[in-house]
Amino acid sequence: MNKLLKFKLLRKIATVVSFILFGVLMVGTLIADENSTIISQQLGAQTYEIIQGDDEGVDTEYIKSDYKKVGDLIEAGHKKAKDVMAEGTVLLKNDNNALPLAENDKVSLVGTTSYDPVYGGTGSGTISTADAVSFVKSLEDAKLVLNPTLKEKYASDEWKQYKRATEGKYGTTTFKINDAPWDVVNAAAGDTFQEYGKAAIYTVGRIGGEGYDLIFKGCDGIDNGDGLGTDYLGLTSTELGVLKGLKALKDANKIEKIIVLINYASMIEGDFIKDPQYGVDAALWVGATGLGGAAVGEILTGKTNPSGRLPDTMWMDNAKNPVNVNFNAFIYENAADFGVPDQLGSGMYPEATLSSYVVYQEGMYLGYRYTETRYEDVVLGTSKVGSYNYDEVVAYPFGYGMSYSDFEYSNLDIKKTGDREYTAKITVTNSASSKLPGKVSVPVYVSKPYGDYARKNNVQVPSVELVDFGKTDILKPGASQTLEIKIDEKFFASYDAYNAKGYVLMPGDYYVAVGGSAHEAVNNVLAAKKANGITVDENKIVGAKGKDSLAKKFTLGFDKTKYEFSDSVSALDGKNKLKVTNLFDFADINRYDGKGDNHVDYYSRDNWEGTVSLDIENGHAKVKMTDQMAKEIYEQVPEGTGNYNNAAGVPDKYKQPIKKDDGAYPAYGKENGLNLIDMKYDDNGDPISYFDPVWDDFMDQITWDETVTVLSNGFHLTEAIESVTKPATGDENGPNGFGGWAFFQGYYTKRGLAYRLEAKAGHVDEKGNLIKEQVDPDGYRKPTGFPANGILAATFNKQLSYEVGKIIGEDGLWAGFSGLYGIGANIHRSPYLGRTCEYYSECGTLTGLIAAYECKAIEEKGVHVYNKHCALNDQENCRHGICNWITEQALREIYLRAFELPITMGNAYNTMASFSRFGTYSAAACRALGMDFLRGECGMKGIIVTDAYGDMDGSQNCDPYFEMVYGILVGGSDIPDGQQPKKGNHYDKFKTGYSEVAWAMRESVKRVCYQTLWSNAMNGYSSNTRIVKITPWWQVALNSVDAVVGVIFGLSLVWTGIAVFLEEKERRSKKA
Amino acid sequence: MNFLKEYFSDKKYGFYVTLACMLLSVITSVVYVSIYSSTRFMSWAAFAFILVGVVLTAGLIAFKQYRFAPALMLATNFVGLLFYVYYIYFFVSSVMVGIQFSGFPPEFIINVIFFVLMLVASVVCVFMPQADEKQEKEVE
Repeated sequence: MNKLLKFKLLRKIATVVSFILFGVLMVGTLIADENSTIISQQLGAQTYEIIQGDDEGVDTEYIKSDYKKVGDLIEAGHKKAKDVMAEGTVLLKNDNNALPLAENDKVSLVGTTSYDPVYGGTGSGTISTADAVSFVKSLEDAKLVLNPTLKEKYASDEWKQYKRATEGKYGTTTFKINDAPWDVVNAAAGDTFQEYGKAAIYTVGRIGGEGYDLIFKGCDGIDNGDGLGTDYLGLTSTELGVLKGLKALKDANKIEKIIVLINYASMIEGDFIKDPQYGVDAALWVGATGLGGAAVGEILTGKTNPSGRLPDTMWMDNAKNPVNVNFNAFIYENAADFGVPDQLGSGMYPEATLSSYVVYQEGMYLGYRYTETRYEDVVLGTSKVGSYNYDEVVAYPFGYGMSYSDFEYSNLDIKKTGDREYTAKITVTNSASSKLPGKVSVPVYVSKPYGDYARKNNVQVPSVELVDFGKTDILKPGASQTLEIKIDEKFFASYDAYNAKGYVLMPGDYYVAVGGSAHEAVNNVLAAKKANGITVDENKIVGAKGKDSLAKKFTLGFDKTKYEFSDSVSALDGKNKLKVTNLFDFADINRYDGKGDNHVDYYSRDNWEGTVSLDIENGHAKVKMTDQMAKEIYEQVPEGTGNYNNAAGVPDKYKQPIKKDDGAYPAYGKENGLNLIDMKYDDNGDPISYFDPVWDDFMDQITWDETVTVLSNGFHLTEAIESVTKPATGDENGPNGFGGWAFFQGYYTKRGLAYRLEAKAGHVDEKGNLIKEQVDPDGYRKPTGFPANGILAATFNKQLSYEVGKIIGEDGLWAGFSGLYGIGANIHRSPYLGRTCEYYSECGTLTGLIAAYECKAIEEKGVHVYNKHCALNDQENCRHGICNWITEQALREIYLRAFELPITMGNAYNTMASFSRFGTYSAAACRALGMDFLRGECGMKGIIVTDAYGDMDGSQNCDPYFEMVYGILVGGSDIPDGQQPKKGNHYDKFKTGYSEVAWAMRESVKRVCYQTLWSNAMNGYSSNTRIVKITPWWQVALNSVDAVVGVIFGLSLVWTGIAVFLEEKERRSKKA
Repeated sequence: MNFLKEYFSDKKYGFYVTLACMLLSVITSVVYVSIYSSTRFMSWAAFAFILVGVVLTAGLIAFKQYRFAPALMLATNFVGLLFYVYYIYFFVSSVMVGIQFSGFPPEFIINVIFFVLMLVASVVCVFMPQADEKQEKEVE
């Protein structure tokens, strides 16, 4: 026994170490258990077992693929990405037919971006570039011969210093454009320029992404004295130096021409393209290329004829874009008076989540709606138009795009062909003198009357607005095609928030014009107006004189009833179309009932000079906080979770806990024998309505714990529900398709078709794991990452957008994803928006139409889109919790239209709510958005997920501004993109005494189930399928380690106990 | 003064480290409560374990049970630390995986440093002799 007294030190060490280890393991296990789904998801471990019943002969692949092999799908995806680039690349300039080049031309490729292309964005916009085609490869594949000296130098370690770079520990906070200076390039290339002098191709690259905007950052762009400081979207002195150097070589006849590629998802300043001192002969906007880069070389050599049109205005100088004055986060200067913290967090991107705001002061006049309208008013001689020189403002207008061919338009015939349908017929001819076949898009614009009704009721009317578009097939020189473009008359209606409180057709003359660019369209409208007797000062016309034959006038009477009801049946009752009325008065500071003394002068056609400011420092609209604003802001964090920078927390007068009630709770855990798959069709084979009473029986089966599990974890998934055999779904990020940063397993998740086919072929072991040597290796490749969405918009091709959607849907089907966190339907409000690569255009209608076709195809493959970030996430600066103040007209006709059309036309099922606020209400807590608009007016059937929830609830170092339970109860939100704790003041608190919350939770779970039912997640499931929860391997391993360490700790304790007892005994005996 | 001199005459370095550890535990709990008391990351159990541990340790010292004092303090401090970890992990994971990576604020880092120092000191105490063993026995 005395042996136990020996090794005292060892005993102590064993006891202490095993104690600490045991404690750490216990807490670790507890935490791991709480997060088992996410851990399993990351480890690819199964959390439930699928038990198939006797389903012989039953085909459970409800949604089928068009492909036999995943490799075929990948190749089709890459081809489609190339098609998008081929049709979306915009030829901006082509003096003296500098392009196309000829095969075997010897050219010098200049600029670091030429050798290090921008494929996508950062953050959500990141795409896997494993299969991307670089400019070098693209040009060489197109049989251009590249200057080998430059190729070697740009790839050398020595020149790594000139690469684009970012500074900062995480993300991109500081931009370094860099590039090799001209003297270095010239010295290195020397005489080779002459040998490879058929052309110098210089690429200008910029990159943006999530979490930051591009303005007011410490970049190394040039300060051109425009008040924007060192401007990331202007060329740097180094870049301009390179262009000047190339111009000198051209002047010395050492190179023949200078071609510029602009490799950025949105627009940089375009002044340099037109400035003769830089000698640019041709310029192409290639966006961010995704996996479609192979098209660039083919465009340069004429194998492909460019047909893209700009989705945004390219400004000469961004300081001339007045939106930038209000493109920032501003702090309510009196927020502290109401106990609202006004301090920025201390993180990488400091934000004041409770007290920042921005005013969309431009209202309707965003992008081309501003440039063309003010231009028209100059030409029409409108008073108070102020100083405005279009030539100095716009480098290339919205819709601009050249071709190597000349196209002629004839026989325009626009007729009213239905109650709300107009049809524009136009014949397009590829001129016989053209050297190349090509295709061209035909945008159609409407010019609405800006008359007494508009003026009286604060309805703003841009000069022209895109209403639809068509695109020809490839036409050989001399060939013609007549396009029939159907136009929805609803786009002629304006939203009147003051009088009709709905969409109205205002009385007066409407001009429907085909344009090409918006500027051509307005010139055509002006020509038509002149022909109709309106005074037009032709001396002020900029650009080619318009043709009145390309615009047609319609005179309409006042009508406020035609569009008074929504287009879709409400998803709130499944029966009725809702009366459209003001939903967002609270987001317009002039109509908000808690506005106090605030008033904003939105831009007005009647007073350009009095409402538009270009003062970047002080010109923004200013708003002060009011008591009601503070009350509403705090209302959305009823449990007061997280940190508050005011230390005192929520002021007592603003504490608004969710009220208890004594209502009856829903039933939980009943056994009614219904599985989710049984809810699809009734006995007659008809789809079961969401409102069918059988859903009540179905929902009664789900337990409280299952309810909480589903609603507390939505991190890129929806949870499985064992009681009703609802499978877990995988919902992955993908504004540019599924080819993003996820998918480390490629297509081989256990939910997807790729896996099921391998399993069926017997290429799995007894545990269901793939046998790598036997499976198709293509399955480990990644899905297609498409070019930036601006390029897709630039195609002006709805069919192509649909085909892109088909690939994305197929990628989801094969990889086992039934949800896509995309597409990105926010608006390019400013070129400085960080995430332009994820979004389409400055135009809500172009965004909406292109996105609708893309969504339609994605949905057809059982992948539900979560269109994001709905809405007003049009800047990254202070995106968390920023109050956006905007008129309802602009909100509906631009920003929400981009989300509405994908739902009404494209059957988009789900939505991701934005981080930001409508007025004071964060999008995920905004009933007007979630319930009244998305589900009510648009008829959205599925669910609303928050944006990354950990960024909203105070977990990050910023004030919390949204609480999930409140979002479910009030905002119509359903699940967090992240995790919500189940304990504390969260779900467990509502288990009794809060029936209203419980019923809202049940409705959210029902919506989750319903959207899962109508997704590809049900492939492989029949009525006989069951899911049974299992303990994943890592939990088994963890529990085993717990047991072993527990035993060691127990033995150590026993050892210590006995030793102490013996020591005491010995001591006492000695003492005696 | 003589009493104090006599009292400390048989104490070894470990005893002083234990006293320092008790003080550190009190400071840690105060820092913790001042940073997190108004947040959902506060564990009152952690706070209680640490303070009760200090009181009980003081009690053992008062009753001259020097050899058991460090073990008790280690046990309570460590359990307190586990509660702290359990309540703070959600914050840590959110910061780590959040899109808007804000980094860890200074107060978080300060708090972590205090907890770590407290644990290390508690462990060290256990391995250090507290008082002269012979004298201790004679006193008994």
